[in-house]
Amino acid sequence: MNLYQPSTQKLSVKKHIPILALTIGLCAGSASAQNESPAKENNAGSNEKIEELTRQVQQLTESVKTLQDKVRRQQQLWEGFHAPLAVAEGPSDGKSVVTGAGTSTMRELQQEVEELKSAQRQHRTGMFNPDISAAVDFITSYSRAARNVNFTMRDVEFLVQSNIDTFARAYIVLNAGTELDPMSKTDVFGDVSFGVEEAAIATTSLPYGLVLKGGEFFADFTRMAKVHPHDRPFVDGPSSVDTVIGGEAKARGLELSWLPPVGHYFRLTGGVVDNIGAEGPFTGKLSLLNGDEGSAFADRLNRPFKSLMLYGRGATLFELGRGAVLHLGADYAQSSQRTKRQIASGDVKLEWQPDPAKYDMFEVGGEVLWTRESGRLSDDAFFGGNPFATSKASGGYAYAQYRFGKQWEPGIRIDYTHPQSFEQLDLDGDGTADALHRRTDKIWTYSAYLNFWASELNRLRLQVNYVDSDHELGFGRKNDWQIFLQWTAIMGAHKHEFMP
Amino acid sequence: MKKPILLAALLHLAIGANAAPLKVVATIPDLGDLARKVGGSNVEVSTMASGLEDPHNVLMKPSMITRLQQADLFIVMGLDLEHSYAPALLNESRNQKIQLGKAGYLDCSKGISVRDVPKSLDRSEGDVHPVGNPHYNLDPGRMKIAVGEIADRMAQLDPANAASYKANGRSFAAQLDAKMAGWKSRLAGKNIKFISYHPDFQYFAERFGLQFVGTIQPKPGVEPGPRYLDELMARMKQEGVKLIVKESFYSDRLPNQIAKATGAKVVSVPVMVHGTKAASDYISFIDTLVNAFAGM
Repeated sequence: MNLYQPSTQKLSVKKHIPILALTIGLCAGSASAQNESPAKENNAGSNEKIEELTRQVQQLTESVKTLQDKVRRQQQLWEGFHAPLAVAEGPSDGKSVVTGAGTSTMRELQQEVEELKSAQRQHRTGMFNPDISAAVDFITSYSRAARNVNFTMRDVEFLVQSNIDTFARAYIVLNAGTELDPMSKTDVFGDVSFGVEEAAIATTSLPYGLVLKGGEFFADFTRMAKVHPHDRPFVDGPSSVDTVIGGEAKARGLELSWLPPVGHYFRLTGGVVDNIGAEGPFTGKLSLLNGDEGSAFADRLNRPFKSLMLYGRGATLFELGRGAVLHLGADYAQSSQRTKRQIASGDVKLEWQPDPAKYDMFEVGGEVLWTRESGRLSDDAFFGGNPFATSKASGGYAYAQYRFGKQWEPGIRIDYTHPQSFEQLDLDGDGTADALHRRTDKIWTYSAYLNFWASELNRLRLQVNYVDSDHELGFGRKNDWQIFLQWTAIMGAHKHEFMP
Repeated sequence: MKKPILLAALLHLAIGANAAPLKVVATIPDLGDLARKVGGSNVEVSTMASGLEDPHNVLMKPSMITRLQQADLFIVMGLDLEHSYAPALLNESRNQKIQLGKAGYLDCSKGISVRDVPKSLDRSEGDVHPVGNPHYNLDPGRMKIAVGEIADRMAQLDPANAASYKANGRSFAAQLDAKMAGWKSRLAGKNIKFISYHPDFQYFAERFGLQFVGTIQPKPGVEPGPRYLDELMARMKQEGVKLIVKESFYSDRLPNQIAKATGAKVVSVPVMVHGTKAASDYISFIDTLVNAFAGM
């Protein structure tokens, strides 16, 4: 028998009761009628018999009713256990399966099971722990000019993030690493810096598409400077970005971003921070006689409001047919202090997936950047007074890459960097600095790279750079061939914020 | 006498004109089709995936963000199927109504029983889905549950049209029931054994009594080496597997190689609505799959 079909075998006592009663009644009546006529002497006895029969009929009727009730209860029980499933057939269709006409027993059982499952979930420890993930970025490099091999653990990065409450989320990026410098021998143990790369709190419930962020973070400024190095399309730089911005777009302060509800994607960002650039502006770099680096511009001991840097970025995306997305962005930043700094940039990127049924992806992009710094020269930079000076840097890069399927992705990049910086000179040869030289470099970097994605979390990259400068790069050479082998691995769901 | 009637008519028109449709965004076209069937003319539905791609690899587009910005309801398959794009887009949309835990966020996996939950969790096992197999869109029985979930949620968000959503939901569920009998009869008793490229046909196999033997990928998302392929082909010969199911976005190379060595037949199938021209809605999508398997 199919257990999910209600039984059709119902007991049919019920329909026979009236007939039974009638028969008995007729029989009783008949018996009564038969006993009436012959002799009055038999009337008393007959009446007694009739009464007896009536009592028996009543008892019989009571018994039939009792039986009837029992049958009805058993019928209900049978139907309850074998009611058809209200939602879907099959034994594995989950908690909402038994919703048909069921008994209270089945419902109670189901409720107990759900409570047990729920209790199991509630007793999991660490349910409110933040998400923790890590990235490891290891680079082997060789510089032909320096004849130098480095094994550089550039980034060991921990990302901790979580919702705080219904109003905000927070994240922390801790980073231990060594700067990538193929031309200098790095001490993997001695040249490690460790610190907080980012630590910020951001709102999650402001109206009108607003998000306010506060803390130490990579500002939403330019396209590449806000991307963590291990996430970039290439091993190094680009040099133009590192020079103009001063490393990554690291900043401390407040940032407000807005997605206006206009039916098209626009992201407008503005912020007020102490400065932008993890390593400080290149334009103010002063090379000291002793080989150290200093600052060409005089700094203040305090930070008045005017010295804060204000910045803004506008970004938008366009869909160009199926599978193609064009990204556009423009930025400007300015601080007005004793040393004034200005940064401007524009960027473009095109992503194109020729066939949505395949993993192939073409990407081409680039940026142009410019910065100017002006202010009073520092005591290290000028001898006898603090005259006013200006220093600039500009440059840009372009790259193109194509991903064949899931794994192989070759690419090329060209970068032009045009920085100005300062250096102390010892004209009279007495060992002390007595003059300042403004230096302007023009540096071209031509790169080719090949990515191999073992998986989305494990990537190998081989990159070759040819660097060509109009000034000496080091070791008496104005150009250099550099080879990099990068191995990047991600543990956990290591996803930084989406910032186009 | 005419003036009150005219006024009432104008008022009715005004109220009707202001009743904007419910804006729904679904991650995959299967959920989009279900949402359209349930919502009818009371909803505007858009989907993120086109149906042609690997559902784990959906290109993020700006239009997805703007649609999520304006959405009243965001419907997902859940079980981490959309982990590579949905969370980032949802966060960037800044639409409070559809965030996780809100009424405008519907995870259809919450109403179904999930299979293939890993006993241990480690990345060395490939691209495992930590909370179970998310490809239940290939099971019309489980998708019928999703229909009910969608109808209930739409009714909650748009009470004025609740009766319509529930009636449409029941109607579509009845259509699925009616089709189910035919699908089962086409596949019943055929003892179909098959392998697929990726482990996404288990729900379909369970529903229709097919025997799923293994996958070309030794672990989810991991391409096979020669030794594994040899073992797979030997197993196919031993168990009499004559069908290789290739999801439409995977390469033909390995399935054809295995077919040549084992005498099996390769069929290329969609895994989402719109994955092929014939799979224009959910019912025709399942028709396509049933035809592909029944053609053995």
